[in-house]
Amino acid sequence: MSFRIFRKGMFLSIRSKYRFISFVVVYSALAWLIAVPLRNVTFADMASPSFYSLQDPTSIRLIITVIAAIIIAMLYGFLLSFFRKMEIATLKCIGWGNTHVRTLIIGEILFVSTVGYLLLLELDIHILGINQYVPYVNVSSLIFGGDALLLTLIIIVFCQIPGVLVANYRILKVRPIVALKAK
Amino acid sequence: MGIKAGKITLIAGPSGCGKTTLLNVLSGLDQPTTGRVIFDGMNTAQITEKDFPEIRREKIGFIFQDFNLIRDMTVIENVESPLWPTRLKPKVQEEKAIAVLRAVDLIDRKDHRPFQLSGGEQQRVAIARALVNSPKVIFCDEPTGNLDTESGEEFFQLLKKLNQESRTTVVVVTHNPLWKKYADRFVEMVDGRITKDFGKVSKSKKEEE
Repeated sequence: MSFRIFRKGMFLSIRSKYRFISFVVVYSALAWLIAVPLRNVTFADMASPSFYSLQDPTSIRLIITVIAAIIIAMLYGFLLSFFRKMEIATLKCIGWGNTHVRTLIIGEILFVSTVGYLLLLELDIHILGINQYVPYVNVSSLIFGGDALLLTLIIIVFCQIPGVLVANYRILKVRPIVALKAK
Repeated sequence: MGIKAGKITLIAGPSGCGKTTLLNVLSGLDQPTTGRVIFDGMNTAQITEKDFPEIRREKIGFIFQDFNLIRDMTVIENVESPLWPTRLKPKVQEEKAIAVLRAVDLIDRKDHRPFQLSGGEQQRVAIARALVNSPKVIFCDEPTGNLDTESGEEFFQLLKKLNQESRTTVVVVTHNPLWKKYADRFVEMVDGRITKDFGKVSKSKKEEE
């Protein structure tokens, strides 16, 4: 995997302004929704089989948000390959293989989801600051712990796999000849 | 038909006569239902999908009617993009891109985005992108279709100049036969058949690509 192409994928995502902003906001909201049920969960809790018993409301909420994250990731993968269809065909015409195009798209997907997560991190830092320096405002219940944040990042990153698979499937289907049919 | 190396071949004809199909077949984007295409000594039908990207990367350049520049890339990134999958060092890639941008007189626009350029400038970026990997052949599909006559003239003058300097083979498909003045060979097509062929090279001199 070419790191240079991966990095260019990140830049491409930023330059697609509206798509970038809208999906960063969506991913950020999603990261928050995943982090909320995990607020009081530790790695030790997740290692326990009772966490997966589906009788715990925390695990049910977590499953729902994870499913939502997977759907969003698949939607983003689909939209990305849809909007970039002509560009993918052009890149294939000028000598890019499927692997190269896939690397570019993975860079774009992972960057957008990570930025969405970083917004949650930023929000948490602000809440921590308010909690520390504005004592008459009680926001301690909104603070996410280190474990919850790390678990959220892991879940967000893993949820991108179906999105990447959707994008990859569509990338494979784009034939370079499409670029000449732009007219 | 044979395409002579280092020359400009212009294929003209009315819409629907099959000239773009011919270009697709010649460039390996499509396979012929009958007959065969020998490109640089290789039968394109025998080249696998896995091998095609490398061949396109090293031997073929494309210029499209709609320019097909990547909107979210700068001019220099668009020009460099065919080199990204190669093993060339980024510094070398940039130097090559800058050299071709100088050749098409767009170096001062290298950090612009395609939508900030005029149609003629965008097509010059497309020429630079097609030339950056020093291909053996450049295929142009209706390259002046979205340009006014003046920009079209400038495009062909530049293409001719670069062809003479780099000796790159150029195959142009167009509906406008007026551009034949820039071509070394002019082929006219009607209903999928070649009806006129001026400047055709004799078999003995022919250097098929």
